[in-house]
Amino acid sequence: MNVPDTDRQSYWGVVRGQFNKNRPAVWGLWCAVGLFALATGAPLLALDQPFFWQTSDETRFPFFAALFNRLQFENGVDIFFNLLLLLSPFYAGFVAWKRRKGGLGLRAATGLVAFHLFATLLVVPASWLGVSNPFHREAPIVDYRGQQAELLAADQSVTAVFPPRRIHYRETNPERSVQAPGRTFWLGTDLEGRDVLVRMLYGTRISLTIGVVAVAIYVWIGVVLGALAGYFGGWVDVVVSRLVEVMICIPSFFLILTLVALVQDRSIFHVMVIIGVTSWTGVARLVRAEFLQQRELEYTLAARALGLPRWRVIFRHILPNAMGPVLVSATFGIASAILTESGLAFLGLGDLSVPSWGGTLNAGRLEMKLWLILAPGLAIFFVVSVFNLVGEGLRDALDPKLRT
Amino acid sequence: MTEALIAVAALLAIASLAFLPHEATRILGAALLAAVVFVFLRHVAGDVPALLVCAALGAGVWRALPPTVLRRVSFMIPSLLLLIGVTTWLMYLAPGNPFAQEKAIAPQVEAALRAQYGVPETPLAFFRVYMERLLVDGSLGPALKVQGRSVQDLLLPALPVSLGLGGLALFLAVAIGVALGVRAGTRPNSWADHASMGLALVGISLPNFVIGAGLMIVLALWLDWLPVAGWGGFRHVWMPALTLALPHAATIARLARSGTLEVMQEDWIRTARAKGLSEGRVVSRHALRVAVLPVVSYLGPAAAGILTGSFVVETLFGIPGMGQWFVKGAINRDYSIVLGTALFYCGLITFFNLAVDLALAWLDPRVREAA
Repeated sequence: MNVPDTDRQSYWGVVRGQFNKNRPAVWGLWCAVGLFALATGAPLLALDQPFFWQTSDETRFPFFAALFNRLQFENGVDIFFNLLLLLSPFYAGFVAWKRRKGGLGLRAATGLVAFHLFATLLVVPASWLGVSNPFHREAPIVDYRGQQAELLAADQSVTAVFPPRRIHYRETNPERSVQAPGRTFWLGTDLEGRDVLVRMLYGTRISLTIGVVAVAIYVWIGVVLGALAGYFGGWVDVVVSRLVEVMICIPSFFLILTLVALVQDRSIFHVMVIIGVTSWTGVARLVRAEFLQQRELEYTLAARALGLPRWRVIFRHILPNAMGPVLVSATFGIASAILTESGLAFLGLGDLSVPSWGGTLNAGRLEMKLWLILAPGLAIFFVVSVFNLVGEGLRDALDPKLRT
Repeated sequence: MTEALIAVAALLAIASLAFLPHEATRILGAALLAAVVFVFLRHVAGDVPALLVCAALGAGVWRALPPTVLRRVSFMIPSLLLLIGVTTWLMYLAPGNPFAQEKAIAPQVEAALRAQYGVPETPLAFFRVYMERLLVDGSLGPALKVQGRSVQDLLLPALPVSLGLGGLALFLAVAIGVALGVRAGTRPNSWADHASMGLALVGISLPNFVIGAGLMIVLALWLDWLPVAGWGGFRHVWMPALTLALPHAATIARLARSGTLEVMQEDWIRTARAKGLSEGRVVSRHALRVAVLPVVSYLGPAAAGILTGSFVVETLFGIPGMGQWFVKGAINRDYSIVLGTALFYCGLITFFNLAVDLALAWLDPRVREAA
C-alpha cells in the first residue's frame, strides 16, 4: 500500500505535540527540571568547604573531597546527587554525542540511569557488606572559614573561593537557636540553630528522592499485580481485585502512619518503602483495566499465535501499550508521596537525621513558630503543584477526546 | 512463620468469599452486621433483648439492603479482623517491646507486667486475648503507656470532639464545594468558575498544615477574630474545621462543576425550561439531583481524607480528639491505643462507605435497578 507518510507520527510523537501545546504543563516540566538541577547543584550554593584554597605554602581543592567525605555527607541520597554533580559534565557529553548520532533512545537513557545508580552503590558506605569503601572516605573536616579569618587577622595572604553560602546544612550553633528570618538567615534558624534556607536547599534532594523512589516501588508492584490479574483473569483476578478492594477501604495515610510507628530507628528509606507498599492499589486497578481491554485486541492474538512465551506477551507487547495512564498516575503519585512524607514528618514520625523539609516543619510545630511551618510548607506546595501541573498536562495529552 | 501462613490463608479465605453464591453472600453480610451490633448492644441491653433485636435487625437488613452493600459487609468485617491480626503480628515483629525501658527489668517483673496488661509473649496469644476482651467484655484493654487508664476511658471523651469536628468539616466541604461548583457549572467563565478552578488547583497541592498555619496568621493573629489554637468554646471549632474542609471543598467544587456542565446539556433540562420553569427551579429541582451524584460518591473518600487529615490538624491546633490519641499512641508505641483507634477508624470508614452506597442507590435509579 502506498500511504503518503508526510504527517505520520508515532503515538508518543503525537502525545508530545499535545503536551507542548499546554503552556502550564510545559512550565511545570521546566520547573521540575529546575528543581532537579537545584537539588544536584546544592553544594555549589551552600557548603563550608572552599572550591579553591591557596595560602603561601599550599594549594588545595577541598570542595571535591568533601563531596565524598563520610563526615560531611553520610546518607545515600546525598551521595547520589553529589556523584551526579561530579559526573554531570560527562553525562551531558554522552547525551550530546548520542543526540548528534540520531537521538537519545529510551534504552540509552535507561542505561545512563542504571549506570549512575550502580556508581552510587559503589560509593555509598557498604559497611553492612563488610567492605571498607575506598571511595567514601572519612577524613577530618578542616575549618577553612576559621583558618581564613585567622590568616587574614595575622595579615598573611590567602585566596579562598567559597560557595555563596558558607554553611553546611548540619552546622549547629546553640547561640542562634530559633531566630526569626532576618538579614543573615533569610529564612531564620531552627531549634539547633541550623540555617533553614540551606536545609531547605538540601531538602529538595530528599523530597524529590522520596517522590521518585516511593512511586517507583508502587508502580512496580501495581504493574505486576494488575498485569497478572488483567491478563489471566479467573481466580488470579479475584484474589488481586479483592486485595485491592480491602486496601482501598483503609485510608492509606492511616495505614502508613501505623506502619511507620512500628519501625524503630526509621530512616528516610523506611518511609519510602512504606509509602510504596501501601499505595499500589490505584496503579494495579489502572493496569488491570488496560489489560482487560488490550488482551482482546488483534496484536495480542498475533503475539500469542507466534508462540511467544507468556511473560513476553504480557510485559513486552501489552504492557508498553498500557503504560499511558500509569505514567499520569505516577506523576500525580510523586506529588502525593511528597505530601505524605511531609505530613508524617510534621507529626514527628519522619527521619530527623536528614535535612528533609518535614524536619523543619516538625521543629516549627514543637516551637509553635509559624514561619518554620510556612517556609517548608510553601516549598512543598510549589513542588506538589509542579508535579500536579505536569500530571494534568500528561493526562490531557493522552486523552484522544481532547486532541486538537 | 506460622503467623505469616495464617495471614495469607485468611486473606485467601476472604478473597474466596467472592465465589460464594449470591444468596449466601447476602445472608453472610446480614449475619455479620447483626453480630457486630450484638457485641455492642449486649452490654447496654443485656443478652436476651440484644439477641432478639439483632435477629430482627439481621432479617430486616437481609430483606431491605441492596446486595452490593451486603457484599461489602460480608468481606469488610473479616478484613477488619485480619487487619487487627496483621497489625498485631507486625507489632511483635518490630524490635523492642512496650515494657522495655532504659534499665533491664527482671523477668518476673516483666511477666507480671505482661499478665497485668494482657500482652503475652506471642502474637497469636495476644490476638486471642485481644479478641476475647473485645468480643466478650466489649473492652479495648488497658493503655500501656498511660498509667491505670483503659483505652476506652481515654478515647470516649475524645470521640464527640473528633466526630463534631469531622462532621462540621464534611458539612463545610460539601456546602462550599457544591455552592461554588454549581454556580461555576451554570455560568462557565464567570468569577465563580475562575474562583472554583483556582481553589481546586491550590486546594489539591497545599498541605493541610500550611492551610492551618495560614488561617492562624490571618484569622487569629492579624484580624484577631478567632482564638489561635486550643479547644473549648464554639469559636475554637471553625479554624480547624475550615482547614480540614478546604482541600475537599476544592475537589467537590471541581466534581460539582463538571457534573453540572454535563447535566445542563441534557434534553430533559431543555424540556424543563420549555415547561416555563424558572432557571433557579430548573437547577435546584432537576439538575442538582443528578449533578451531585459524583459528589455523593466522593463523600466516602472525603470522609477518609478528613479523618486522616485530623491527625495533622488536631496536632497543629492542640485539639484533644481521637486523631491526637492515635498520633500519640503511634509515637509512644502504645499498641493498645493504636489498635483501639485503628479499629474505631476502620469501623467508621466502613460504616460511612455503606451509608454512601445506600445514598447513591436512593438518589440514582440506575444504581437501584442494577442492584
